[in-house]
Amino acid sequence: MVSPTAVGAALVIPDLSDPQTFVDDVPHAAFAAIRELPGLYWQPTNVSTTNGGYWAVTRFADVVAVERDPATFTSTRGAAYPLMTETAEQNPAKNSIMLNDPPRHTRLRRAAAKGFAPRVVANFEPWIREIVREAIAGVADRDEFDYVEAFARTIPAYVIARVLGTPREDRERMVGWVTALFAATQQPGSPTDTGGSLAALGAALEEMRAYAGEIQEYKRSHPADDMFTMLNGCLDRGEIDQDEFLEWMALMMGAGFETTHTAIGQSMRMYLADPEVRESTDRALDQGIIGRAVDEYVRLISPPMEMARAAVRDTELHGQQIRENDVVVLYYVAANRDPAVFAEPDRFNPWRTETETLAFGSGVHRCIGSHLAKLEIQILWEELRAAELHLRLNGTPRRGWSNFINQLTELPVARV
Amino acid sequence: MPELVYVSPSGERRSVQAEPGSSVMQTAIDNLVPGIVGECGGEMSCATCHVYVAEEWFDRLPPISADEEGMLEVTAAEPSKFSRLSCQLRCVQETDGLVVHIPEEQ
Repeated sequence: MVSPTAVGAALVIPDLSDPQTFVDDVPHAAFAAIRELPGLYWQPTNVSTTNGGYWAVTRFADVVAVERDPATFTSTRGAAYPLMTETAEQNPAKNSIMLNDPPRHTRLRRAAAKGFAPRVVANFEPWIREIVREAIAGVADRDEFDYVEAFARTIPAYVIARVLGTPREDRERMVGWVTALFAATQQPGSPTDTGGSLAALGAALEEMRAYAGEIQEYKRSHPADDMFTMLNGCLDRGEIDQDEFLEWMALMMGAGFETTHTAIGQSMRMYLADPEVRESTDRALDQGIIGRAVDEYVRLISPPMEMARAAVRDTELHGQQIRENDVVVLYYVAANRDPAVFAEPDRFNPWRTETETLAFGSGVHRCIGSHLAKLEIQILWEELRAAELHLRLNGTPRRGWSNFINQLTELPVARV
Repeated sequence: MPELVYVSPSGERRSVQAEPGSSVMQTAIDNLVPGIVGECGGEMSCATCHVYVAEEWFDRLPPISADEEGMLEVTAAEPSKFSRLSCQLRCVQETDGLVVHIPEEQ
């Protein structure tokens, strides 16, 4: 256990590498203090680092600078903390697009890019709306329920199943794997200790790959307008290989579910807990600009709170010397409240003019599914209003155990 | 430095001096020209740097690759026969004075 660092007289910066730090809430005050410190903040830890700690990057411009320089800051030794490895070879997800730099990354990304492009995703609207209406109908006879279970876990799982072309009945299996996958990220382990998180991650991925292989075979004889069929085409044309195919599918199941799940649950929690958020969201709906409210939700929530890179050479960032092999953790959750970029950064304001956020990252690894995620959440707000489903908090929301995802595992609500 | 003119959907013209070799997308980002997003950072995988090249310039630019063609099919705004992804257009001496129109949405 590393002792907390004192800043000024009052604030103590908690251990950012410890999931316990994020159990009650994201430590926004600590991040604000870190942003004000000169250079970068060194978080000492032996978990998932090789140099005894990592650099916490909390300013918007610094995050962008790292993400636009993959030649210096590689993704091949891990894409997020605490899943960093000493070498690329050690990472169980080494064939994943997230764990690669250009030019391999570019080739992999292009395989699926068209499927998530703005116009393609806009065409998903009718069936996403159907899924959302079904979820709303699912609570029609219930006065009290868990919003996370009824909406946050259901909608993204059904949407991603439809995009990929997997049977809906497999939802529970998929949610189970993805939950295990993200739980695996939170088990202690280090690059030199291949136990802990990496082994657990590898095990979860293995099951997802096996499942992806089954569906892949099925789609050979039952091609459809879905991602499995499309990537089978890429495979046949030699654009990607079989390992890359399976890794793509595991990633889409995981990333498509967990982050959207977080955004849906947390946005409703904010709406129910904060009258200003509620009023602004309602007004955005009135004005037909719910998309802007969704942007504000994802900015303030930052579902993946961070992603990470490793330096491949000695370099400098914001006046800080960085050594070869140092891990830099890019705290989107802090950068998205950087007062150098956002006026009144903690305020939920769909009418703000500074609209560029890091909720989906930046640079070559920027979230490929951002249009889909935003559309899902936007439609959900529209349909909740259309159905006149009015809720209130009905107990204490429960956060997850994670220093990576801003998880909400339970949101008890009741009808009003 | 090659000059580059961005025309907004409302018809407003904005002229900037481009860094030689920089892309039309990157030049827009660096000069805070609104309407060009460039989400993927120039990897030709997001279709959010779509522009309509001014007719008189279109044939003077390097040809469209199959990859670019593919992504142009899925831009947010309807593509035209003058559509390009601005991450694929380099600002060089030969493009001095290039005019591109920014679509309504990306």
